[in-house]
Amino acid sequence: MLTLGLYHYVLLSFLLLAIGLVGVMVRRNAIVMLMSVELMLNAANLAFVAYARYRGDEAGQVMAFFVMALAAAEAAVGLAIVIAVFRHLRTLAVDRMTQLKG
Amino acid sequence: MELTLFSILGALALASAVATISCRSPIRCALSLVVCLFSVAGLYVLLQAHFLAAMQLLVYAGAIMVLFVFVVMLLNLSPERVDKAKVTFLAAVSGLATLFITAKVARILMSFSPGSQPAVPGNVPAPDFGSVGTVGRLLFKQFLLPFELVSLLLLVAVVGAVVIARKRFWREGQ
Amino acid sequence: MDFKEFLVLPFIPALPMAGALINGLLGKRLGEKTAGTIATAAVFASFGLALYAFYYLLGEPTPETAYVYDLYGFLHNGFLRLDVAFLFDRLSAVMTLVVTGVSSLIHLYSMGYMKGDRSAARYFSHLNMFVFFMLLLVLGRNLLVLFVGWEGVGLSSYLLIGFWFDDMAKAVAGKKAFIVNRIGDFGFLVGMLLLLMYNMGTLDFAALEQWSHSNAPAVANTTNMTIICLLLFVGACGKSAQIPLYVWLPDAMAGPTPVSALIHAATMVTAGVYMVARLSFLYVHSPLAMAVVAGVGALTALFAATVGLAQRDIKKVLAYSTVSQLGYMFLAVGAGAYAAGIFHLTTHAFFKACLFLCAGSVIHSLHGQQDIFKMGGLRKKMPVTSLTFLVSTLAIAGIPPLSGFFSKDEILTSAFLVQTPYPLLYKLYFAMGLVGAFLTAFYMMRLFWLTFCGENRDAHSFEHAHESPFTMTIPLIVLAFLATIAGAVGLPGEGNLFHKFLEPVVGAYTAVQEHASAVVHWGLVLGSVAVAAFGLALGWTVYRSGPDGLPARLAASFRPAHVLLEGKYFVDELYDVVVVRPLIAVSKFCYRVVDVVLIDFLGVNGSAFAVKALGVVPRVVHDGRVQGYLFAVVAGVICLWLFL
Repeated sequence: MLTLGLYHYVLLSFLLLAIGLVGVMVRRNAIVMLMSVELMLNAANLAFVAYARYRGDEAGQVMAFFVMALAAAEAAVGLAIVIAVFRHLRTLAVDRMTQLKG
Repeated sequence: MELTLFSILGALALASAVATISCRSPIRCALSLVVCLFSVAGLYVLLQAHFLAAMQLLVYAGAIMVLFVFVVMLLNLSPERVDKAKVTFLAAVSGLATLFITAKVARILMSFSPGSQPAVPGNVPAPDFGSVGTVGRLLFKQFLLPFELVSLLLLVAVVGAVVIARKRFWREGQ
Repeated sequence: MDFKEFLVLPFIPALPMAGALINGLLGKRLGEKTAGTIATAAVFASFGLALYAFYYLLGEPTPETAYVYDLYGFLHNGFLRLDVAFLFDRLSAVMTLVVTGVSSLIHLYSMGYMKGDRSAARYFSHLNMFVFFMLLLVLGRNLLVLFVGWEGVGLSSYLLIGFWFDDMAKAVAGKKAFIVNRIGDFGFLVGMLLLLMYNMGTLDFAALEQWSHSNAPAVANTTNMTIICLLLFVGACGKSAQIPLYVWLPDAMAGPTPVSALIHAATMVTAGVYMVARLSFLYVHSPLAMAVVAGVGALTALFAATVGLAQRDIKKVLAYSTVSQLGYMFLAVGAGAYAAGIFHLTTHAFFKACLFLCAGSVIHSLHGQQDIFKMGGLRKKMPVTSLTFLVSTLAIAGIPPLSGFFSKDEILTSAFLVQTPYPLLYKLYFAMGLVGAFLTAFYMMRLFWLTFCGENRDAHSFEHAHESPFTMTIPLIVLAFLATIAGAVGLPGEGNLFHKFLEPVVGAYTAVQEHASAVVHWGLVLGSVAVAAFGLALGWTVYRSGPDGLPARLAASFRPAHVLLEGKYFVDELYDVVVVRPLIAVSKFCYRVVDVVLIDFLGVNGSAFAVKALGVVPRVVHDGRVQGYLFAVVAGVICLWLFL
């Protein structure tokens, strides 16, 4: 416990993930939701890098690299959608975007 | 030493994460996220992932967060009005749930016998572990195909973002 | 039986079908005259082909030869063997010639009768269709094809009876015919299925004949055979209007008169007799069934004759006469004299068709008058019609040397002399038949005299009465001529060509007659002639001055009997109370309770309602809020993780 080990990082990663998940579920604002998603991705990255270090294999870092690229693409497209939706609905509250309800 | 650094950076990360999800003003959320990203970058350095730490700062904090801030400014959002009771309730519930589950996870993690923990103090990585050269070599050798595909993905994302966000998207003729 | 394939065979029914299709689909465009010509030509052509086949059949060296044509293997599996196939043996030949021959004449007659009717094309289409189905019936090589024809003629009959369906009463008459027929058909169907079950899956006549000779337990079991024969006879009762299913025939007079002549006198109603003759090899195994057949026939002959005495409508008299004569045919086949029955069928076709066509001629000329009490003296205005009617009257009464004498006498003689386990019963049948013959002569003379002789009783229609055009009178003449000379093929004793002809088909099953001396034979002959002559004489005596006077006084004196007879024993009313009303009540119940409540309300609407109600519950979850969905997913994952 007192020596820094892999599982500390894993636990931290898990906490960040949980926080991000709560943020996605709770916040109404679409942009903040996207930010929470970024948070979750970061948590995953952290886990990857931690494992890479403790196994001596840089493949984890490569994976984290790719995740970052993906996050960038996703953020770009997501924000574009947010802008388009905002033009229509004049609001960013996701609980107003219920046209697909059944 | 490492433990201290880890604790400080970890705490900072957690705090700013909580701030990200709980601020009312989106701009404050964005800025808290930047702080979080910085602390995670610091954690990367601790984990001997120098290249990745630099990338995190350049791409994530430098490009993505700038984009977020830009969009927030563009849409000129006002802070959300919140329903106090609802928020408190939600915060309580989610906080409790998180704590509960974290405790469970921690217990599981602790249950692993020390012998199986790869976190042996003597586990020291190679001197050029996580350097630009090593990672770069991996990217261009084993992971060349995903690398190229990611570039294609980025192209698609760029085109998609431009098309979706265009003002004249829904009018006749393109 | 020696079978040879005869390629012309399927064309005999096919030509009328083609005519029916052409008239049915294009009739309106072709117009009345063309439609009539096509239909008549089709049937004449069919008759021509039948003659051709008959000629060749006569020329066959062996008498057991029959022509066949297998069209289509309908169903061949391990158990069943059902084909669409035709058989032209000597029995079928006789029937086919009668059907196509009389049909041709009646089609020709119809061209004159239906002139000016706006639905003439439909009429000719239905009439051709009828001929097609009737030919299927008589040319079928197995019970399946026969049954298809059986049902088909029922359908055609319904369509033609209700031809002028604007008149509700006529449409109802058509419905009645079909429904009563259906009751008979049910018996027929059950009998057929039993037969199919017992003889391992075939309905082919030759195969059935083989089976009936075998020692199969089903054959040896007389009760079994009796049941089958009686069920089949129920079908015959329906189709051939015997007691208790005769009630549709008098009502069927609502149809055009040529239809009455063709379907309800000469052809369709004889299907039952043909069926019994065809299945003679089955009936020999059950003397009880044969006694029942003969009994029903004799009773119907007598019963219908009594009703015919008091009817005023010219067609109704002829209708009851038909029912009565059909009874004679069944008496014949019930006494094992199959050839005699078929012979009477043939002669009856001639004179009854002639009688009906004459009636049609009269009705047509008087613009719809059918009440004989309002006719009279028509022989001055319609000489051809009245002469042919007279000839046919004498034929049906049984006056030698007209054909009716030979056929009827043969029937009565067979009934009297047949060797049977029930001799007294058959003697009774003979007596009933004899009384019926007397009544037949009486009411036919009444009909003839009141219609054509004496003074006319309705000056207005008499003014406009005229003889019919030659398209209508030629068939009358031809039929009357045939009614006169047909006896030549049925001379009693060794000269009986008809019997000789049918020998290979039914000879083996014809019941043996007791040996009787020449005295008995001549006694029977003279007796039946005397009875007929007496009937005619009495009829003339009573009615020679018209319906008022003596007949009216007689009706008044025997009022209860007269009411009973004129009301046809109120059988229809009885059926209405006993059968029709309860059935309607059950139907109403079924509709109101079962259909509306159980099925519609509870079942159909109920299940829709239940589904809707069930759907309301989950709808709460589907509110379109993504965060809600996400929450559900996360909660689910956590639960899974915690509990697994």
